[in-house]
Amino acid sequence: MTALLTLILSFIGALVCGLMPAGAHRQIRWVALAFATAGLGVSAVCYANYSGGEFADLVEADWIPSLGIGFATGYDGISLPLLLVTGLVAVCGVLFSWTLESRANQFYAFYFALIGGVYGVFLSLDLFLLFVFYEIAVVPKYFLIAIWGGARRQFAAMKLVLYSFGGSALVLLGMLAVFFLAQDANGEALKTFNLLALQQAQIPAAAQQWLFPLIFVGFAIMGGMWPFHTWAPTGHVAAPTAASMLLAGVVMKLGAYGCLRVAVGLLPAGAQAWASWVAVVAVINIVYGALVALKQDDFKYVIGYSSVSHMGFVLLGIATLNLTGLTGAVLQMFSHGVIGALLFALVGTVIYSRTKTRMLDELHRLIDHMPGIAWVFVAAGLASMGLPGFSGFVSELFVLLGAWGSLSGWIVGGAGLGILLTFGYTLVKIHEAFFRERKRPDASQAKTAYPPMTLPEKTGVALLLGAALLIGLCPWLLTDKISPSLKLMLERLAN
Amino acid sequence: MITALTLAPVVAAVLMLALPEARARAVALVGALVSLALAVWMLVQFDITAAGLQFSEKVAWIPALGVDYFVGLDGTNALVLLLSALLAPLAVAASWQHTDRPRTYFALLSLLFTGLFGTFTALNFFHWFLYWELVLVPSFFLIKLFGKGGERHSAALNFVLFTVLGSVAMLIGFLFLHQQTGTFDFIKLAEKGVPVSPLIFCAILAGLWVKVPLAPLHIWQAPAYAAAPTPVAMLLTGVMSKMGVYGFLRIIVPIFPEQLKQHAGTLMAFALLTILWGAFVALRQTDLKRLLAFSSLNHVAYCVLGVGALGITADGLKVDAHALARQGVILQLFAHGLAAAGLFYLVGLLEERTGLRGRNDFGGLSAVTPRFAAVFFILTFCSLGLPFMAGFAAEFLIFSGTFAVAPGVTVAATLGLLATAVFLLTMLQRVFTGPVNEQNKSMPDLTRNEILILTPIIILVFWAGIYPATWLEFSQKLTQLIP
Amino acid sequence: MDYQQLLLALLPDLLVVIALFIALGVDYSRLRGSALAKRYQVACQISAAGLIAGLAVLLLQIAGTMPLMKSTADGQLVLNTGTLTLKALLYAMGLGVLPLAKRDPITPQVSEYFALLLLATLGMGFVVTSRNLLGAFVALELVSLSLYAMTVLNQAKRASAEAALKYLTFGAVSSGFLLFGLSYLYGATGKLDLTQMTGLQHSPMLVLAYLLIFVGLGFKLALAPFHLWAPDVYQNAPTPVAGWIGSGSKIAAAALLLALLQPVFDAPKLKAALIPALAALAVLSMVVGNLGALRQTNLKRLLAYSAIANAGYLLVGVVAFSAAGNASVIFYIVVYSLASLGAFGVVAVLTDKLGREAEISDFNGCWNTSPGLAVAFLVFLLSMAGIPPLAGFLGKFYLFFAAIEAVPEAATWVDGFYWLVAFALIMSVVSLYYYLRVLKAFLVVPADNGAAIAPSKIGWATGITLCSLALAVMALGLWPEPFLGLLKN
Repeated sequence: MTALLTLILSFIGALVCGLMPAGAHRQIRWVALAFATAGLGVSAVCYANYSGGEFADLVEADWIPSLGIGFATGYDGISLPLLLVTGLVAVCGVLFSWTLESRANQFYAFYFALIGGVYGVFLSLDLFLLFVFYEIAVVPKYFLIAIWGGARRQFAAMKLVLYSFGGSALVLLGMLAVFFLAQDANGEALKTFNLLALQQAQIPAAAQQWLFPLIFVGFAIMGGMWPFHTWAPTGHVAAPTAASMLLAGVVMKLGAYGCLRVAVGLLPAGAQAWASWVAVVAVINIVYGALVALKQDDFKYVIGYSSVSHMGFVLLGIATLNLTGLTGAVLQMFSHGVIGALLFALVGTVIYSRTKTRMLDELHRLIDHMPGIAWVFVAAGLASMGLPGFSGFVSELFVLLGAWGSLSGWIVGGAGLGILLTFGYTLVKIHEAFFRERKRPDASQAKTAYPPMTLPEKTGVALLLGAALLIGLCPWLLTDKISPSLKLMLERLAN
Repeated sequence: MITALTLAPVVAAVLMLALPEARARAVALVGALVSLALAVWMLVQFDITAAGLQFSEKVAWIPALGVDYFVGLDGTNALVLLLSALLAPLAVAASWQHTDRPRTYFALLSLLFTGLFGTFTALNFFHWFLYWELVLVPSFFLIKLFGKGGERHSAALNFVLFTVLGSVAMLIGFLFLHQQTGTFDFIKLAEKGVPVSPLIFCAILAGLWVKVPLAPLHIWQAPAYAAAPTPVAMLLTGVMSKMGVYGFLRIIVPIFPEQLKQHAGTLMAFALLTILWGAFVALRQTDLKRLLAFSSLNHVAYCVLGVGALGITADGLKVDAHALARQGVILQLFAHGLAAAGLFYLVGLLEERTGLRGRNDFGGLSAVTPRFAAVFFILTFCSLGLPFMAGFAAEFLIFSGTFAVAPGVTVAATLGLLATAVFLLTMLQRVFTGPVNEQNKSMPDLTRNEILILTPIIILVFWAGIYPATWLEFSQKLTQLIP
Repeated sequence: MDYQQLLLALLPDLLVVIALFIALGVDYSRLRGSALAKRYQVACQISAAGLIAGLAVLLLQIAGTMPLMKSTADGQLVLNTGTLTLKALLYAMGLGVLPLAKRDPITPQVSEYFALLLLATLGMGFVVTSRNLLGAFVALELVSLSLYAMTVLNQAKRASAEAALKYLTFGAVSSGFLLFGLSYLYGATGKLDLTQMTGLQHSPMLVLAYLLIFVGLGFKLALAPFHLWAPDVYQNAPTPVAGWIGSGSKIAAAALLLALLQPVFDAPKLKAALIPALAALAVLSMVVGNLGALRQTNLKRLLAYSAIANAGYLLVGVVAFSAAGNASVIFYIVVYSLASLGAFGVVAVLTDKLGREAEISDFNGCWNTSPGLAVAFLVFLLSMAGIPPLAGFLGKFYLFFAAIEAVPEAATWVDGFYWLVAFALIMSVVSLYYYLRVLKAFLVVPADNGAAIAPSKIGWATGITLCSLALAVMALGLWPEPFLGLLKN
């Protein structure tokens, strides 16, 4: 039951925040912080209690037996890091929205509905339930972006939602097929959505051939897979900070998690057949995302495309279908969740609230005007580009090692090129934002020093950067939990 | 022990963030001195008769990937560690008067120290690479933020991009190695002797190639050295350029003996090219810092020449050519590190006092500032390879080693020596003799602090030149061990 | 025939009829000169009392405490838990329409308004319980005629009359087709009782009969290409009436369609002949409805197109020709009707002071002035869009589930209904665009010039109606098992 508290608390949080009076934003933010922290706390407890590779904390009950639908939740080493990152980003999202006043009650209602949905996806052990939570996570995004977002928010919100639903439509179709096609060892149709049962089941190989791309692409759209990634940058850019943190930090992980848990976990033969295509797309993601990031003038777009690029590593890790690569994929989900959220927080709130612009060519030697923030951003940028010592490096290392094992050298080479480009655009953009003299210096702006970071901002930065550094230096904290579960999963796949 | 040495500067850097800005330099100095003290103590304790690693620490880190935290000291890295631990406090001292955002500056400098120490002591690719990349970050920002001239941005960017290009290639190479062997451990990899494709060998080579650097991947070097603030330039030329050569000794020689044998000729040819290129380009430089940069390029390439010699079979010779070459290379790292760092410091002082650093901007300085001139002469002669100075001993050993196996190349390389002599002497002549340039007439001589900084360098330069045995002892056992 | 039992079986309907007459009588005799508001008040109360009484009896019948025959002669009335539940549901929904109708005194013919409402409800009750060709047809006509008349009640509005005329013409033609179809069916089988029609053989006559039936019911269900009346009627009919057209009559028509198709279940060849026609109707309706809705600026018109699209989804469950398919269709139409009625209810409440048909942009800023209504509307629309955990999602899911279940193993993409489900899914993604566009007005955008649309007073009856509709939509999504269990019988 413990793990379920995360989502119960989130939905209660949504309700409580939503029912508070709109003017009470000071109280609401504390309430929100309390609920978010509670969620993180529960995740941490789950983390502390978990060992071995099996599913823990199983809750199973009938829900809609006439359709073979049950209520089954639990978590294993694959979902655990994602629970943690969700909790972490949720807390930090509140911290970075500390100054939000407009419609605060509704904001947090949607915010927690989204978080509850995300927790739900990571905890669901029933395909139907997973899908329900997956969709629950989509709608609040629309409102978060459309109401509190920046320029072009209506368009971005709509695009994001339509892409998400496009993806889930594919998933739904695939899910129904899985339900009817899954057989037990004797060839009897199972007719269940229960993941634990489906994992043991056989699905005819011929069906897997077309089911895998259906489900994989459906989920991967949410994971930012090229060429269906375009919702991500526009959505991230238009979203308010907390929402873009959640989007980059956890929502994109929903897609990747679905790819791993459902597409690969249930359709091994399909995965084998399509792995090299997935890898190719993953490399395109990495390289293309980095190249486009290099060309952006809007700081948030840079980060948006860097997210696309980083999610390529997750996909690549999944495509390896071996222990090392999959561990890397899960680790990268955590890592990018933390680092992506941090970058969006910095760009969207910390820097923007001071400079009132995100256009790189309007920023003028920020290193002089906000040295502390600049250095924090530099550290975050380095973490993002996969500097050893940060979690990004470890996860990319795992992925690349896995890729050597099962994929062609060209794929690894392509990923290597992506890493180089990542270095390139990170440095160039850091230069443009913090070191470059502006072409037409604006006298009023150039002289003033900006106020330093506030306490909530500092706390949030410390949490996220600390997590990236901790996992970068002590990756075993997570890999010890991830690998046994993946090992079990791979064993099941081998049968 | 080694861990403490490595992390002392980082701890200092963290402390700096907490303490007032004015204390930053003191904290940095303390951190660097702690490291130096530990380094000296270890070298004193170093058992020169024992083979293998000493002071090693090994802890499982990421068992899933077979990564251990593994550090240790042997003949290969003992001297470079000492060199870097020595130059660290000197660099801090050299920037004692630094006033522009001191906290940032000294924190970055301290991070750089950690990166350097770590690179020289790590024995597992995982954290070795961590440190290798860590070096980049502070040096990038030090050049970019505190460097001189408008070119510093592009210089810093080029520097990083070139190095990262190499690093990524190397990373991919090591991923392949790991794929084949399941380990990142340098020592284990050396024992296993993996057959690899030339492509992988080249990939790993590329990372070191850029770092050394060897022609034609050296073009980032001169702008970066010229743009860097003086203390950073000291470290760049004194220590960072040694990382590449050290990489050759630690990775290429033990892990890829076969490949080295195959490609030794090519490697030596490129080393020769770099030697000549560096020397002849230096002839035409009028900017003193750029001139020293090319001189550095030239000198470090001797080391690679020596490494190349290790790859050529030397049976039936009276002398142990490999031992000579190896010890020469290690000593050259030490000697050149000292001399080059010292020279950069002096040029930096010159620039600080007059605002000039052109070769032809000065004249007759020996009369105006005798002490300054004396030190400058000593270090230049050391660079030249004058007997009884460190440079001579080292280059002599290298040449004796290489001559035995590759006489032709060695002879050609001496051409480089000649050119070196020409440009260094021209420099001395233009700067220190002749009529005194009017505006430099009142240039103050070395202060006591500056002398204090230079003293250890001078002492070691002579010590290594007159009695190199003290230093060669460290690597003696090593050369007997590995074929 | 046991008249006592028949009386008991028809007691709910009798109660409603009695209430109808009382309402008429009271209004004509005692309230002639009273204020309009008062007359509405009284008529509404009497009608409500009738429906409540009828509902109570129905519940007793369902609970089995009231003895009644399972089926009357010729399937005129088939009373089992399933049909009775549907009937009860229709009564309950009709009860919900009453307070909405009371809010907006559009016509001085007060008691006629309520009497027609009750008549329509009564007719729907008969349609869902009847399994006899004639009985069902007559009941359906009762529904249709009442709705035609109600559409034109607002005489002040020209467009209303025009729409009603359109509705009447189209409706009459469709009834003609339906009657043709039914008579062919009778001709081919010689039976009027649908429960007796077994062992149908494939014959051109039967195919023609069913095609005619599809045309006829297609009009009632607003399936494309027989949908042309729907947008105008939805837009111009009084809002509560539009709500009732869009919910109750849909349930009745869908139930009738299923009942008529029941004999086909055991006739594979006939089934195979009918499936392409049904699938084509489904695809066409989804396309016309969803693409048409994209361009609408008038909210009620948009809801009309959404109704067309939803009728298309409905057929996805019909083509399954299975018990699960039938259950899914009923589930879906019930859920859709609840949401649709709710949505029209919110619109009615919000626009009764507006004095014209509301554009979508009129609702800007609702979140500020009437947050409760905005949230309720969110629930209804998201349910129609098929967002979990609301009932609409489960409804769609069940439809698709049933369609796939019919032929789960597909060798090529044209086998089974994967392609149809895929198409429906794509279309429901499209539908999200316009649903969100509407919700944007309700929840996102601030009011244009500071004055957001707001109701004068919601009133407890309307409040309870909307609340219970919203709760029902949520409950059927979260805990559908009891209702699904009922449907399976």
